[in-house]
Amino acid sequence: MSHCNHCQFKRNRKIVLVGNPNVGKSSVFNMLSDEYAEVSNYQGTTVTVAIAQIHIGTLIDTPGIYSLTGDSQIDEITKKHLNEADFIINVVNAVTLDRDLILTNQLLHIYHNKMILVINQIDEAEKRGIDINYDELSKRLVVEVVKAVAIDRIGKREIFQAIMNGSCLHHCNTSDVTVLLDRHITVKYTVSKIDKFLLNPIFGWVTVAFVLYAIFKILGDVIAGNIVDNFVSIIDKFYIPIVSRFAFNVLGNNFWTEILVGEFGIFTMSVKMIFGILMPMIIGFYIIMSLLEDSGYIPRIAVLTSRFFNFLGLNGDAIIPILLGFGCGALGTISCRILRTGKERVIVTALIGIAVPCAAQQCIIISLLAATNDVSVWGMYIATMLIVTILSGKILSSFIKGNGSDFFIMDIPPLRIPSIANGYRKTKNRAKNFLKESAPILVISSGVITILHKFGILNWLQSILSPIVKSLLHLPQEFADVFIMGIIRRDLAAVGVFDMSQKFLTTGAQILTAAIVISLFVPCINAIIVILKERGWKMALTLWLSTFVISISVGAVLTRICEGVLCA
Amino acid sequence: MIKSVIDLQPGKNAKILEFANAKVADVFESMGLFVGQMVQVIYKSGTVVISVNHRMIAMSRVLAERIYVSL
Repeated sequence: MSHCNHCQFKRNRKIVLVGNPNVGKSSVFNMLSDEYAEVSNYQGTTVTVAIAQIHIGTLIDTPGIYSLTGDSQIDEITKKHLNEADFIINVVNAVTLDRDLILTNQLLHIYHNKMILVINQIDEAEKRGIDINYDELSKRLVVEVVKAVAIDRIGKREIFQAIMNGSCLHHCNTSDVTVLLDRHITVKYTVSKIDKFLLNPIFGWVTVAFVLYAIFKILGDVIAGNIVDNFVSIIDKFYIPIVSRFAFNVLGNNFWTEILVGEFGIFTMSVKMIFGILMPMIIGFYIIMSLLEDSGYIPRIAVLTSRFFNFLGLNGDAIIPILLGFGCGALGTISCRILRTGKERVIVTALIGIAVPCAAQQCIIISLLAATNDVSVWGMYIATMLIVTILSGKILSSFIKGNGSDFFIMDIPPLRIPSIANGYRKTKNRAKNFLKESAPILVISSGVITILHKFGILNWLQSILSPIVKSLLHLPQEFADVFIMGIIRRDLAAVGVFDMSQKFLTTGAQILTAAIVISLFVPCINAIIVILKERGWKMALTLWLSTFVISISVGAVLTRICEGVLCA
Repeated sequence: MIKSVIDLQPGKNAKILEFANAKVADVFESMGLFVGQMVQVIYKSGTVVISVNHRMIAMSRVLAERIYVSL
């Protein structure tokens, strides 16, 4: 291979990873940088760029694209980075090579003198009997080809070597890629029995119901019912008395002691909320999500739900941002970028803001409902959330101008046994981010609430909100605190409800109303900032006000219905 | 006989003859679906699932109706 000045090693070069969705670009990024960008087994995992400084330059992981001619938001982000790239690593999947080489062909026409081709997941291709002639492929495409199994860190040294060598082969006009593939790659494929079952319109839905039930049982009974209870009782029995005694001995009984270890204290309430309640539930939730994401089950749910989303003027693509919204509303809103039309992006952003509770909320809600031991409470909760989602979707799709997309097309990735290492890194990363985001706000909130309580402002706010809380929602006056917390963060409000449920929420009707109001309550500050950036201030303001009105109205109607039903 | 892929019975193989128009051809070709490939319908419900070579692709009925195949 000849070398030229153009490709000489530069330490400050911009190296861009590009490829089709779900080929393993983030895995290659993680392998080369020793950092962690989220890896999952479905297209659309990466919606923003990840950047890492490595010893030979700046490595940039871009969202997956199918072609250089696409004009979606995702395509534009990737193309912008391609135009600024000093070097391009085109990642393709050995299993879907026929599809992936179309983009390679386009890239080679423009960037042939600064690009290498990384064929990832060669192990899976071998297992499937896919035979690839790598040397011939390299010769015909006139590009350096590197084999890799990025998830197992195979191919790292070879990729660095290829980048250092540069790709200075003279480009030839590549003929039709499909002809090339016919000659050099043989593929066989049969649909597995498990896929036939999971995609079947009847058995597929039975499986979804079973998976949801299993998630509710694990989060409600195992984590909330056992682990959280034990953590909270350990904190109550051992930690709080020790830290309170210590603070009183050192500081005496004054205002600062109350801020630190009082009823709403930073070292008492915050620690209990974060480490006793939220973290065990969040970690449990993220482990389950990671298993679902890495197994490839989520695209199969997208196929099953596509018809339901058609009814709302959307299609199966919508499931990805909505599922991510179940983790965090802000993340779900950003991932609306994968949707094809502006109308779809607005509808899904609104649905996430209105009817998709975040991970922390769900965990608390599941544990609240599980504690009632009443199937009718579960039924009414699910029915109410479904009705609100359908009505909101229908109203939005009727009133928002523009076309929805009926061009739903999605690759179904192969089912895989989730990698324990990736699951661990992903859960650790998400839990760390959650702690980083939530802990400071919870600590500040504890201090603010103590001050509001101390100066009687909390009681004053409670009395102002009393008509809504007591008269409309038939909830105890203390629920007003939850509103105040919910404006700051939804998870904070959810923990408030959890804490309150043990003292003030005595009936099934009250628990159900509280769960619904919290589920539908206003998006938290983080989510609103993201909506503001992605969709503009009008949408952010409208959504905030609408969710406030919807949560109170639905709560007020529901409380009257369920008082009748549950008391009857 | 030329029909759309949606007319195939699940499990039956057929060859793609053409796409309805240039716009859908762009959508399909960007996903690696070309004239001349063999396809098999796996399911056709609200969404149609087909297998092409070693891959499974799900698509809306609207799109599936625009792939013409030889029966």
